[in-house]
Amino acid sequence: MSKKKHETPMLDELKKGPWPSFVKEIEKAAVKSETANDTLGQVEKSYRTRRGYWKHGGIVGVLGYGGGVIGRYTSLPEEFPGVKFFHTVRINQPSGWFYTSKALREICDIWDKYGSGLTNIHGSTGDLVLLGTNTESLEAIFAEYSSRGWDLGGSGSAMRTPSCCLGPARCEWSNINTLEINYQLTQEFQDELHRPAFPYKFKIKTSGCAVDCVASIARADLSIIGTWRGKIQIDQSEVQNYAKKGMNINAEIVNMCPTQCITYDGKEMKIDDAECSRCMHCIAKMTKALRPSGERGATLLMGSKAPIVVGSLLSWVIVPFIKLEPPYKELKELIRKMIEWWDENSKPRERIGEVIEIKGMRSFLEYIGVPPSPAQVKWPRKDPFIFFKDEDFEKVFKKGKY
Amino acid sequence: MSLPQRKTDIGPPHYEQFLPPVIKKNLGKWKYHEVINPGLMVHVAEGGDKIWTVRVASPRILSTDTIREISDIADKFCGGYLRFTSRNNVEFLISDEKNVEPIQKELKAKGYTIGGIGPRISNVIHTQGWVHCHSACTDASGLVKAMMDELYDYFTTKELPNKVRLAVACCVNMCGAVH
Repeated sequence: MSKKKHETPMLDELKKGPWPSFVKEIEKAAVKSETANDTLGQVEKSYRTRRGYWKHGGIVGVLGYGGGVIGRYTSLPEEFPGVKFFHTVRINQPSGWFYTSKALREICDIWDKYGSGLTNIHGSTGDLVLLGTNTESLEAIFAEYSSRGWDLGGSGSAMRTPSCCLGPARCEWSNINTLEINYQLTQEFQDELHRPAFPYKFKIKTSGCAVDCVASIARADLSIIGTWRGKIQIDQSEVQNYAKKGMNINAEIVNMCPTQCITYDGKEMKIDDAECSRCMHCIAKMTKALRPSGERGATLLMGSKAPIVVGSLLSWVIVPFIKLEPPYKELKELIRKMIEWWDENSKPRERIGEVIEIKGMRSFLEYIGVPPSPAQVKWPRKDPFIFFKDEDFEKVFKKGKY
Repeated sequence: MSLPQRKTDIGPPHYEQFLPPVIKKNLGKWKYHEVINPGLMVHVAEGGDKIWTVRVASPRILSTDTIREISDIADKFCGGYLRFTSRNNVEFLISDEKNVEPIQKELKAKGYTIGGIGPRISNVIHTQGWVHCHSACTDASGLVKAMMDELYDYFTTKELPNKVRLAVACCVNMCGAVH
């Protein structure tokens, strides 16, 4: 048991108030761990001086892997010896972040043995993150976790740990088995995940429908979003039930439809499915009355990223519709082609979305073998999204049209 | 001290072993769900099976002690089954209706914050800040804590026109792109 080593008047303020306090969590860990104890001291100092004291880097990791562990050290080892080493270990989470109490206790028992007892559940990419251990413990940590079925996640210029929404496990809107797609893709790209060989990071996120609970459209180089090809089936009696319960169907549903493809006359709801953009608004609000039908699959979008290096992007459509059924061969091959093209054409630290913008859609689409389609146009009338080549003009001249 | 034999490139454990039996039985067969209160919803399957979910807030940085406490609660009311959301909330998955009220009572008694479902402010996604990052321009956890103390009622009770998602990035790296 270690006693509280540092006075932390500023952090103590953050123990007050109703929202759960991270300071209380660090204090709980500090009872058993010098590392957590000195973390408190250093964070308090950061609050006082308004700057951070962590150093990054150093080659740390486990044998045979190039990622999964992020090296971290304090720049004040004499003042805070407990955090001389404060490495992070990323554990690849199960699809949909489902656990049992038994699995969580197993994770905790190993972590208490070798680390600070502090975790992030979860990191933004999806991994279960263990915060704060030293270099000597890394091999032991890896042996303990991997022998029990847990592997490390991705870091650095590599395939990052894919993540997904809970999909068919507890959601009526999911058009695809997000959990299985996510699991299969993670298994397929184990080498790329553990041994960084890419120009920069590559993230995959899978959502079952356009509600996009994991925000895949905003934070994945490849966003896989479930959709359907058939009509929206309407149960008119359930529509009436929603009206009876006080829903203003014209205001809340009809007028909110982005393509204005719904009509409702107080008795009957009609949808012009050809105009529907499958945004999910009406289905999400009136689940009992409206259901997608017909063929299910996904739209593949690409390119989203944070501001670094040249500006943030949202993913845009590359493949308007793809069937996704085990063993997902077509999807896996397509991803490999996307990555190959990116690797051939990018400079270090360029994400795939940036390279598509630089090199153009034509080069990208030709390489991955996806035909151009109007659905891929991101900004109509703004950019010439598809460029013509000399051969295109020659073909036209030969025909003698001009 | 001898260590067990390490394994490489095994990937994560398969999710199926962590799914409650009622979910395994009704995978892809859910019909609709209803939000009963800001921290409780029920999903109903085609065949009538039900699963209740109680959602609680988390500061994301969790000590192993807290994870064990959460696990104990899951053992008592959920057959040990629970999950985390993409916004770092904890979700207790309850298969037996008679546990729905008692788990909420126990969570409240233990000081957990129940809420975040429906048109409200859910948990705040954020970066590491001064707790752990070398390039943090400001703190993240502290900012989120102070902000959510103010906005607490929007997680637990108050309604808004739609869901609101807040995020804090402590530098433009936006690690994990915190949308």
